[in-house]
Amino acid sequence: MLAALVLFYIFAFRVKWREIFALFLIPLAKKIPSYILPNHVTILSFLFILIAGTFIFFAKYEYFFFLWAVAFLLLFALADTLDGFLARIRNQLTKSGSFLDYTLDKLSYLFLLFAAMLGGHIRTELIAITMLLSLFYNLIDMESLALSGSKSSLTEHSRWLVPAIILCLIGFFSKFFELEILFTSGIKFQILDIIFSILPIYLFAVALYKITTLWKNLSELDQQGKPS
Amino acid sequence: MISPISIIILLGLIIILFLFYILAFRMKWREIWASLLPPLVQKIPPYITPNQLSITGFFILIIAALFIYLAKFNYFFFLWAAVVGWIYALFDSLDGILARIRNQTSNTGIFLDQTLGEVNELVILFSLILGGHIRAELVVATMIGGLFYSFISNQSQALTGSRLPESDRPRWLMLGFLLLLVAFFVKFSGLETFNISGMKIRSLDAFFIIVPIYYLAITLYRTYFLWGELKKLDQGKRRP
Repeated sequence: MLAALVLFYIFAFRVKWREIFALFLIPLAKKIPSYILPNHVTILSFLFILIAGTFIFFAKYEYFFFLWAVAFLLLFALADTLDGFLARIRNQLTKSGSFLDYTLDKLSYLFLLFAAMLGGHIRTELIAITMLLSLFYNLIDMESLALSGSKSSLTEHSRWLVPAIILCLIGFFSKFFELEILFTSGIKFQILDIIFSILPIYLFAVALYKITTLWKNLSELDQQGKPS
Repeated sequence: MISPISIIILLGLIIILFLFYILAFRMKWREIWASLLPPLVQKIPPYITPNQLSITGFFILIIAALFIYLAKFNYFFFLWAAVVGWIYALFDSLDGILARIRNQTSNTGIFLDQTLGEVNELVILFSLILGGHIRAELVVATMIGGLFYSFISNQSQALTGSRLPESDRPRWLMLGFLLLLVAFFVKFSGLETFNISGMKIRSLDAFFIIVPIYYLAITLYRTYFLWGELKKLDQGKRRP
């Protein structure tokens, strides 16, 4: 269990996926015909998420669908990174593009969480709390962008993807080995619930951390602005 | 056969909806407050900062949320919650006006005001769930809709660099206030549930459902509007 947690941490937060992808995506991006715009790729990646979410829902009836969901999540990762590279290579970085990218990203994870709820894989309360906390976190993030004018937060894009893939895999293996339910001193626990509950705790912690750093930055900005 | 009582209830509902529309969307509350509050603001001693007023407002709102929860046991608490809600509305407008009069508008102040505004909304909605007044699904959908709406409007601010969109919080306050009154009268007159072709529907749920629908509509409108503006900005960059 501990080893799994450490691996989870390393994969989700320490490995620089963006740079690994860059190695083989840039040659691919150069081959894409010019009438395909970066925004088209972004919308395509959202379609992948819709399909992945549908598979997560249907995993309720047949757990092999979890693997299909993972496949489409990987396709999403590819398309999602590709649009950014494409825009940068062609020098087509636009504000509307970053708006589309950012907003669809949020809609994507909300949709996946909703699918996991409808599929009955994870308790509804946990999903609701996670949705609220993650939206609150993004709100703070955007406020920081608007008030302090820093750009750092945009790199945190699609961080939810790796946890989503790992959860799908755990969902698959727990059904495969019939380990869905744990008994601890007479209380029934669903394995997915337990692992999933890391997410709201993590989100709560980073939101608090973000608020404190933002507060410090803004206080500094205010003091600089005042005539001495 | 339609009974006269159901006609009266229907008429009452239409009148309430109409009043709701006028109070929530047609009156310019900000300007009404702005004409009443400055004399009061000048009496505030200088050692009280606008941020302190924002935080006091937050604690007052928690009391209102507590009253909404307690209305589970005695519906007269809805009226108390409405009274405390008014006091909160006063504090909420005072901090901004105070900062502007004293020329103390700051980034931290704006951040505190916006974030507490969001947290306040969540606290009030959460008290509605705890009190069991409105179906949890509806309330959670409203919370998510509200957060997503704020997310889009913050994004608009970050990307277009425009000034903060004028807060529509006074509007929400009026709406919340009206909901509390409706909740009180619903309990008072014993009209909590009504039957439509065999289905039991709670009147408060039916009334509250306007809020998520409204959120969805303004979010879509705002997204559409922002998209157009960003397109214009992008084209301006290409052909200066």
